[in-house]
Amino acid sequence: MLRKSQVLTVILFLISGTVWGADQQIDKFLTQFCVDCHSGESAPTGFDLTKTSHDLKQPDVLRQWVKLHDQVAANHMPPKEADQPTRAERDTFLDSLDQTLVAAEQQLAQTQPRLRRLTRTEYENTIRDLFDMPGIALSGNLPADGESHGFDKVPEALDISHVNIAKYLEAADHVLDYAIATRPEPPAISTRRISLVNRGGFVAHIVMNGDGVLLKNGQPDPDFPPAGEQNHLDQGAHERWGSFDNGASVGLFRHEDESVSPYFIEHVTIYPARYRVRTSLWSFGWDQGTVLPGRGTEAARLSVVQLTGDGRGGQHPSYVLGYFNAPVGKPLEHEVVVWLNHNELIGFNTASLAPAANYYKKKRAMEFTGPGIVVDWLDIEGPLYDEWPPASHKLLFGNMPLVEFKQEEHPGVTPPDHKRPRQLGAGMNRPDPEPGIWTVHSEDPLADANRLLANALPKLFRRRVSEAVRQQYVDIVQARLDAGDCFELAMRMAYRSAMVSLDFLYHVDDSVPAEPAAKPDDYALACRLSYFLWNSAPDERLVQLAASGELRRPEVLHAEVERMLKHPHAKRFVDDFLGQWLKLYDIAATDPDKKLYPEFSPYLQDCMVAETRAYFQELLEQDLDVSHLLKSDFLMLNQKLATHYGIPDVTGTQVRRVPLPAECPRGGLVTQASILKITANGTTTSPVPRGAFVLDRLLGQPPEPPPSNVSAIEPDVQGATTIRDQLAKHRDNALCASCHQKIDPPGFALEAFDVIGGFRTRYRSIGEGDPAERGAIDPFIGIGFRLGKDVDASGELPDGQTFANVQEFQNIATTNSRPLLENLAQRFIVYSTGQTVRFSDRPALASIVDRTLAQNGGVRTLLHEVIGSPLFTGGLDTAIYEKHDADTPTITGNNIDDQRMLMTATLAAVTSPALRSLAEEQPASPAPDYTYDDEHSLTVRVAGLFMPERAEAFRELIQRFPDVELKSLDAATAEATIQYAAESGTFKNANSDQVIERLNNMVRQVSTGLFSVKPVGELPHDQLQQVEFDIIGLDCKACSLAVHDILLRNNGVIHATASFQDGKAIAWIDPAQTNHAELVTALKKSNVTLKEMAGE
Amino acid sequence: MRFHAALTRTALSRRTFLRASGVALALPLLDAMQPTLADDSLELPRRMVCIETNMGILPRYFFPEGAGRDYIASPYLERLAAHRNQLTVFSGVSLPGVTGGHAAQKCFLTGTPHPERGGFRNGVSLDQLAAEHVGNATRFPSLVLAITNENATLSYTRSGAPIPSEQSPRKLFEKLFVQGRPDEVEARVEALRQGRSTLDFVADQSRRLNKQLSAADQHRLDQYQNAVRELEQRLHAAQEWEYRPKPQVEAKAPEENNDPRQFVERSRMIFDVMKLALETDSTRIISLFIDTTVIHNITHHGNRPEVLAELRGHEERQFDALNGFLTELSESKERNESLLDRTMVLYGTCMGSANSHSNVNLPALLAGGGFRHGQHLAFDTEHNYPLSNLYVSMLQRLGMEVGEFSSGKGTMRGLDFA
Repeated sequence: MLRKSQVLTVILFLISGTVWGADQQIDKFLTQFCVDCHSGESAPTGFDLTKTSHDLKQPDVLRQWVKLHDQVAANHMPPKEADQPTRAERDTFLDSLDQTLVAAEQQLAQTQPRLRRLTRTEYENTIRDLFDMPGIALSGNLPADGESHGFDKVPEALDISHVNIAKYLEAADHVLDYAIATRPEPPAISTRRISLVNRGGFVAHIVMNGDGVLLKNGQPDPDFPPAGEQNHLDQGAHERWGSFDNGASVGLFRHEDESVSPYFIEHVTIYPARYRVRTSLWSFGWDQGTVLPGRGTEAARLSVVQLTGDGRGGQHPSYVLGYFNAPVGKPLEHEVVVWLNHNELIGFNTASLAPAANYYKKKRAMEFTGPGIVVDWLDIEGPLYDEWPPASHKLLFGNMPLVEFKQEEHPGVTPPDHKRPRQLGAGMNRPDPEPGIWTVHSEDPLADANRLLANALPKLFRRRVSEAVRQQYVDIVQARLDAGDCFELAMRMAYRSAMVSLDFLYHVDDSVPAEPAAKPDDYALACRLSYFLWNSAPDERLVQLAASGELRRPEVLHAEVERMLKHPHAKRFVDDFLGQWLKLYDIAATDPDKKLYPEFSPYLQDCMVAETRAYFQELLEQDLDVSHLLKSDFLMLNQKLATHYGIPDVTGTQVRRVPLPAECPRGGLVTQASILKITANGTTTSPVPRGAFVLDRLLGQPPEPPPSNVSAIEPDVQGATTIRDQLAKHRDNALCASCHQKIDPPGFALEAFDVIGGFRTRYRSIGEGDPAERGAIDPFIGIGFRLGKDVDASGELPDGQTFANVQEFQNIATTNSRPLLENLAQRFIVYSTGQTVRFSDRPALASIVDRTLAQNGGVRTLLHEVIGSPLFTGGLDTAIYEKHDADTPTITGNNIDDQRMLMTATLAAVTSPALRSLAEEQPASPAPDYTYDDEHSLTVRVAGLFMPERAEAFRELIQRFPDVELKSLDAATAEATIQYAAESGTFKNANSDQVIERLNNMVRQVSTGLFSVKPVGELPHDQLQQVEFDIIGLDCKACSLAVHDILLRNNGVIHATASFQDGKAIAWIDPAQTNHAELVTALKKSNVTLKEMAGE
Repeated sequence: MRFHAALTRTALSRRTFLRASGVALALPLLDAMQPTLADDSLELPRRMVCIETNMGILPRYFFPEGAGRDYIASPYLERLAAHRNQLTVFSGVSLPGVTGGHAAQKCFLTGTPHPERGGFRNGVSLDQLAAEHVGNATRFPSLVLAITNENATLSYTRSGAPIPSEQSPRKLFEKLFVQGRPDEVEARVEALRQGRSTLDFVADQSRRLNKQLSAADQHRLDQYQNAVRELEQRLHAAQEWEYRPKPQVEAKAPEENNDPRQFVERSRMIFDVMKLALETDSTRIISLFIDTTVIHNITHHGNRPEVLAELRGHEERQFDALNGFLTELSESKERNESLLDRTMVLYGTCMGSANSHSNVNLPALLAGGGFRHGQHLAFDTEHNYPLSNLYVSMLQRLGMEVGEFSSGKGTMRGLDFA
């Protein structure tokens, strides 16, 4: 142990390079009350005052002394059992230390940077808003941002390297490619009604196998009976037959999984723009072939999927649009307006159904009884533009006219290189014809450049741009014009430069000065506000208020905050702030064990996130007091969450406010499934991470990290021990106990909830235990877990208060709102300014909290107080609001979204120009009057006449050709005699082989492969041998077609029929080339099942 | 992940800087065949080749007995016996969370978990991350290759988009060694020139702020300016490449071969071109996906001896082809080292047992590239060690300052730099 006199000499603080002698008071106090214990090897928590640095220029050292200050101020130190200072001694010491620390910090402020790069989310939103391209995807291709103090908004964490710059260049080019109009008229609006079961898609495949059914008028489609003992044969035949586009609705039983991703593949976006998407959904019950009323409202998911590669592989949902109600029996129409990027389409999932599959069952759909979701259709309409050229173009080129660029008129000028859209996949929508090169034309390029840049640069840079700077951009334009670029290319170069400049990529503050506490300039204040509440650039109004200096007026600032919170962009604040503060972004970081938590689904996970967002939104809208972070008398639920929480009578996907039932152990953030999942590891829970989460994220008292020599607890799911048993050693070890007596109690209370946020009284186990009851788990989910030991959710807080369960804990924890408010205020400040709250900021922070408490302690009030405080505005001249505005908060309706739960912002409806009608048929041009004669006549063999009534279809088909006439058709032999117009364009100068070839092409194309023709062959029909097959599962016409096709694929088969009415197929064959046995083999190889034949 | 600009702050103007730091620029300085040998002051480059076969490798013939340096080679490793001291074989490794049987094949170089799930989005692949950092030194930042008749690839961008692979050894050869049309070259040069001009401009613009900044903000500004300058230098290097003639090689362009059954022969052909690409320093990063789907049915061998024997035959020939590639690399000399000494060759597969579609205990080995090889690193077959840690080691071996990659949170235990 050191003698006290030794300590005296070391309490000299280093500030700003000079030794700053501390007040004697500090020495005296530490020597008298602290050093006895806090010295030498055995100093508690290793804090040795004789070795502690006093170099307060080091941020870590400063932090350590602040902590010492706080320990003494909170009466935690000296400990109860030690000698206690008097009140006066304590105060004197704290005052002295306070002054020292504040002085030190002012010097240190120099080392806190303020120049901050946009995060990739800010970057993306900024582009989206400035260019009015609200869904353009950019952030995914930018390197991930760092994180500091819990947020990605802190300058030190936002590094930049050449990789970022290269990606910004790419992104700028990508944006400009799509922002600039390249045609005089907008692309034609296409309106298309498409089916979920589509050619070449997954869904056709699984419906063929009995994992879905086609329905017409609420009953199985007679043209496409459900797959029973036999699955349907040959998808291609069904596609050609049109089974999938005969207007039937699609009822699905199967959930998305590794081999099934249902998409509406018949629309693949070509032009990035807004699209209106409408769909009709309902749910039903299926009982082995019979349609019954459903079990209740089901949820269907719509997502946006980006096709990649060649359009076949590599697809994945880019993001979930939302979950939509599918009510029992009665179709419900939903509509959303979404931005779709190039090669994006709409994906689907039967979200509320349990994973189930019928394809492996003997009788497939005819053996299945259970729920299904029906999609009647999906309408997609777009691209929709409010104006043309679009706003993105107008930002860059104003109202300058678009003209066609003709090279001969501009010798030596480089025209723009406009990208031609290439469509991946199997979209039925097609690109518009390319109109040639259209580009803006300028008579006076430099004057126009100056004018355009004067408009665009201040928007891009979110501040006033001096003439000198603008001139430098005009110089770029001039240089490119001199180099031979056309006006568009030259301007593009200037814009591209602007978008990679520091002025665009960083939060620039003209007042960023060398002095520490300078306030942001007015534009920086507008930006601070907009990047806080919208995560994006300020809109025109905010910039105007900044320009006029009005924004700093308290009542203006207050009104603006209110306006911004009501704007749909405010959802970005809620999503991004919660994503980081409460780690909602990490919701998918762990996968619940499938055996222990079979009821978990991606849908439940999205509901969890939606709940927490809606809840926070509700606190904000209703200005509810901050104790709601821990406790509430209402919940924000939809059906899925309510079932999960065991609360009855909540129907549908829409999240709405529900009163908390008596005795329900929920309320506040801490009992929400999202938080409970994020603080567990997917398999087990531990009070430690949960307790630490509550202390750190909600109460602002992050626990110290555990000593490095302590190993983590091995999770046990065998049911033999509980986590409480395992943690018992903490109580016995004083070193552990000093922290764990604080960390563990909130976690103990939350032991009442499992890793997916379900309430429990016993732990689930995959080893020992009793059989588990199903409870609210979907009856189509198998249960493999057992019930193990009892849960004990009681605990004791450091101050000795005890609780028996989570409700009692909530009651104790909410008695003092101050820590909750202080913490939330600090989080707001770090998130909005990128600056931490320093020791010297504490009075300002305390004032925010006091003022909020003096009003109602509400979350919206707190937000206003933060924004009105000098910590946000940076200036002491900003008078803090005198009083909270008397406005009653309005509900913006973001939460209570009827009949659906949106996961992403839906766009406002577009005031699109009058829709062009697609249904109007082009008037047919009059058929030319051809003459026919016997000289131009030949006989062909028709393939596709597999049933007698197909003859009529063939006749109709031939009638559609203006230059061909059918003289005769013998359905029994499939021989047709045809006359053709020799003078027509099709057959001019053709010999008979060429005539048949051309005719065959026409027939195949128009009939989509249902019919084809070929030469009759040499063998007369009566010399052909007739062979028969009895076939199982010949259930529909398309299957008949399939069997017919399989037979005809074999050499020597001249003609074939197959009828689903009698289950028979007949082939007429050339016996020299094939025989019955060979064809049996061929049929079997194509998975056709033949009835057992006698003697075989 | 945090990247450090390789360049230090400097008061030099950009032009001066360019002249002064020609070495750091890694401009193409030298003649075709052995570019780096001509100037002893240049450090020899490091390279990385990543190969995945997608239908598993029979574990019983792959994994050796005994751990450490005295392991007893397995039948397949016998095929590589000549390179025993130049390779490390791993057991008890897998990519954490990468499951889904065949679905895992797209994650071999990304390590992104759960490709089998709806909503899966891949992450950046090892080779592409490496190419961002060392790719500028060569004409081609990386080569993305595949032997497949489908559209498979091992390489993914940061946003998880697949990068199309080159599948024809012949086209690859032409790309590497046959001169492009002058107008195409000119167009690419012009694009690079404009990129550089943009960067010059924005660097100048950022100097407006210099005067009024605090020291801390000055540091942030310097970081931006360095980033801009370094990219400008990279574009400059790329521009130089366009003007330089492509290397001339004596080898003939290989013939086209699209027969999926001949995947071993096709492997040999593409290995030959890969060796030429490395030798001429046309690239330093290659990914190669070898699609062996044609043997898919026999990988479900069900332990039938005749099927196992057939499968073993195919796989032995694959290892013979790999052996041929390693031999070629080791016989190609750069100063006093072999090309293999400077080239990491990762060879592995996404399934520990194709028979059961298991994605744990992946057969994998690393040859060459400057590690202390000659050993069997045996990890726990019950609780696998992350193969992604090997990727961190490989990135560091390339000179990148990274501590993590995907699920890899550190370097591979027991694998040291030579």
